[in-house]
Amino acid sequence: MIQIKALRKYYWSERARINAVDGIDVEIAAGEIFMLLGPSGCGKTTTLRCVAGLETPDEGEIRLGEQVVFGEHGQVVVPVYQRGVGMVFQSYAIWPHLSVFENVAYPLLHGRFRIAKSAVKERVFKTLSLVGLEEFADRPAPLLSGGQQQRVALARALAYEPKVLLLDEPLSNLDAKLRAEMRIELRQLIKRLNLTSLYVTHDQEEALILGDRIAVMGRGKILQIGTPRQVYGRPQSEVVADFLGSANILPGSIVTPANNGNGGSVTTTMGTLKCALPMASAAGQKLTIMFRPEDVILCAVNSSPRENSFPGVVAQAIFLGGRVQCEVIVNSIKVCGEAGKSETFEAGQPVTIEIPRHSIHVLL
Amino acid sequence: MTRPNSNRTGAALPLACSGLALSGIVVLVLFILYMTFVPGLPTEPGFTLNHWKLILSERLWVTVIPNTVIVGFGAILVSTFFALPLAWLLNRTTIALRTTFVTFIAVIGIMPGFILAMGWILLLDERIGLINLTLSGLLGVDSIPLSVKNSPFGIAWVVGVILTPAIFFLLAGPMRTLDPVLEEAAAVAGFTPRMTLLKVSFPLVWPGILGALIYTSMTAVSMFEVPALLGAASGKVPVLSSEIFYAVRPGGPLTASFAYGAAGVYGVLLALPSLAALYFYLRILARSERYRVITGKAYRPREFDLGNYRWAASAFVVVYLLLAAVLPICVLVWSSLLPILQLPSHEALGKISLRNYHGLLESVGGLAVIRNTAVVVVSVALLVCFNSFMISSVVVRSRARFRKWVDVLAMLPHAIPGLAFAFALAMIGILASVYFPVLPLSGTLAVIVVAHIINRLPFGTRITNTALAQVHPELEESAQVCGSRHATIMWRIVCPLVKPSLIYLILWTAMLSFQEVTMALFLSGPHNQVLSVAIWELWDGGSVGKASAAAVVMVGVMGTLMFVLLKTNIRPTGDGLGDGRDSN
Repeated sequence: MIQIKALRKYYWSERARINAVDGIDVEIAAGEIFMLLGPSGCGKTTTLRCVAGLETPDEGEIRLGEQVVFGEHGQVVVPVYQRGVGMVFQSYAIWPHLSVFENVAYPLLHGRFRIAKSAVKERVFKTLSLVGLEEFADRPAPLLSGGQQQRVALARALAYEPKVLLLDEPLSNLDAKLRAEMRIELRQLIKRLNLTSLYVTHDQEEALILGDRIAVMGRGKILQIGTPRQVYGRPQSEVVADFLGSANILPGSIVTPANNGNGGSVTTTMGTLKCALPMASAAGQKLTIMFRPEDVILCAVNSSPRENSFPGVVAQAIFLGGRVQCEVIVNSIKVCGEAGKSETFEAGQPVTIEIPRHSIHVLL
Repeated sequence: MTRPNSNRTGAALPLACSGLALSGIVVLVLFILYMTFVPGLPTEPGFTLNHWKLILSERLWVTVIPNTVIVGFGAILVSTFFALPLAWLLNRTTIALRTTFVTFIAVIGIMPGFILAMGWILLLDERIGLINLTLSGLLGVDSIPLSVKNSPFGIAWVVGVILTPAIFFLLAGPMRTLDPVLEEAAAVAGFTPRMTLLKVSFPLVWPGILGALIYTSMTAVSMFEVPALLGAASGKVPVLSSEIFYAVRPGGPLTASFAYGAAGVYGVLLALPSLAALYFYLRILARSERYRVITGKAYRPREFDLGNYRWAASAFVVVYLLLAAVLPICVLVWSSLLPILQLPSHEALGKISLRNYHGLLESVGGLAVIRNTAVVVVSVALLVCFNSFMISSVVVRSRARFRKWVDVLAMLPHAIPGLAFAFALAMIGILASVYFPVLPLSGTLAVIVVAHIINRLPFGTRITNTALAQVHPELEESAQVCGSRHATIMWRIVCPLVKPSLIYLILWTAMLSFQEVTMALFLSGPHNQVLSVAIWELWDGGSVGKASAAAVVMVGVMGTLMFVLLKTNIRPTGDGLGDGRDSN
């Protein structure tokens, strides 16, 4: 439904050219929710704006459905107002001089997606009911709460029944609790309407919860594309591993290569770890391993020694409510782990950490 | 990361409009320069450097320039003397009746300068001044040799009093944004309040003060109407601006002949220091970033407790109000009620009548003048608003590389006296009447409208720049995504959002255009007289009573409009400008 090929967009700063988007290839299937995830300045919003038509790319091709909206080396540029996409902006961009009804009715009254005047009212209320705002139709837009404004922005983007929905960090201005609720609700709504969505966020949790697929971006390039499980569980690079959740990343070298599915072992500054290795690996080969804090098992000292277990000392234990986050020093290496909320670890306490073999992942 | 907004679609109209307006400015500036090399009228052939020899003339260096300098510096001295204490008292102390005083200062700011000058002549003139007559009566002497007329110091006094509101409002910003924490820190460090004022507060606001002074001095030296009334017209105290005027509109006793090229040279001489001042002003603004006195957190300026001096402070404000407006306007009202100006007495009270007001319409030139005035005021206000909006949408919204230059060009008329632009327009009008008789310029209302528009663009674009910058670009982008074209977005989204600023701009421009006399007088012909010009000519012709009556009517209209404006609380989004008179 959305096809982006070799997209490039440059900016000129005082001194140099900045490659805001540096050769991006993405294909998004109809009905898919596709997340662009990355730190600020990675080019995700610029990519989205290129799709919307708010930015004109320097190279590449963009297709919406069958239509080429940008391509032929810049010869074809379909203007924004003809692209027919729905878009939710980070600031919501609710027009403060109009009421909720007027905001949602605007695209139906002025411009390309005009419909018969008599049908406007019905359509607006139908759209408002999707987001649960029928009762607020007459409310002036500035008198809405943040969450309600967000819903108006969504309703306005949906009013003209676009096939494609673009969302630019739509939840980033909401407070944490509301954001958590809206994630689920938004996903259900988009799925119900079967909209193809391109969704930009810097919030990894949001990406994991909402997305069918995630593209992690950095410095204008896509670092990895995959389902939430793939990207979280099998990150292909340190940057991806580090950006999606927290990760313990250790450089090391292979001691025993993989052996018929039995896995091999890797030596690191923390100690020697047994783990699954790629088949084509050789002893002495340098690599990087990664494991998630939540996979680290922490026990008080003197439990019987097991595979991949090491003695250490708690450097810091932070109570987070639902769990306890621990930093443990193992052979002068800092390892992050997590423990249940009932565990009471204290700084300076000796502990044993265990890293199950299946939770260790080799980065390429 | 800041993203330049907008894109390639749309925006042809703003580009076209600002292109037209700005190329007009450039053409006029170049034309002024061109005229300095033309021997006579622009329709005559030839090339000469003779006009530039004027720079060496004795009259220029012995009379004109010293007078201009005295008027410029003197006016700044006078207005600083009033404005600096006023700005501090009304912004940072516990003075009584603060809002009322600020309202009055704002109203004075909009009063036509030439009318206040007329009032001052009636007050302080060796022959007819009421103050002189009172004092000489009391002292038993024939006359008091003190007069605002025929002395550069007198001109400086009146110009200074008139420009005080402009400086006052320019100073209010820095005064109000001075973070009290900085002052409190000084107090904690053991400074007495007076030491704090001198060692902390003043050094922090001085860039703002200096900027305001430079800005206003530009206005002072290019002002024509007040020096003209007070002695330039009679040739006794010529200043640069009056030299331009009487070089092209002889009538003064000294220049019996036309000297078009000379007017151009004077215009350049007047514009050069203004350009330099503008440059320094902008540099001070840029450097004052270093002196930023706002810390961004919400705070209330700490108010200096005047204690027992509260009433003394109020008295100071009242004295200023008396001198700046109450006395001159009262004397005009008095004079408008009498056949011949005389001191209030039992006999004089007996002569009071409304005779000067009867047939006033006839004396100012009938309905035609009223119609002309309305046409000029309305069309200038609307066109300035429209053009400023268009220029701002290029400056603020487009990503064109030249947008900075568009902004600089729009500011240019601020540094070049309105009289110089009027001169260029008059010359182009003469050219047009010979080569393009279809183009109605010479002696028409259109030429006055054009002059006013150019003159008001710097002020207009400041207002619209600020207003547009405060409309989040996503508000426009979301409308684009919703399928609207540029024009629809401008009309349906942007205009309603900046409406308060636009209305504010329209009303201010209307008022300033209504009271403007210099350019309208310079460009006036038999068929394009406006009210301010009519009053001027009544005064010039010696009908003091009729002129006073018409002036009172004008002040009444202006005052009412101004109070309405202040009461309805129409404010531009994002303040930071003075009263707009300061963009001459």
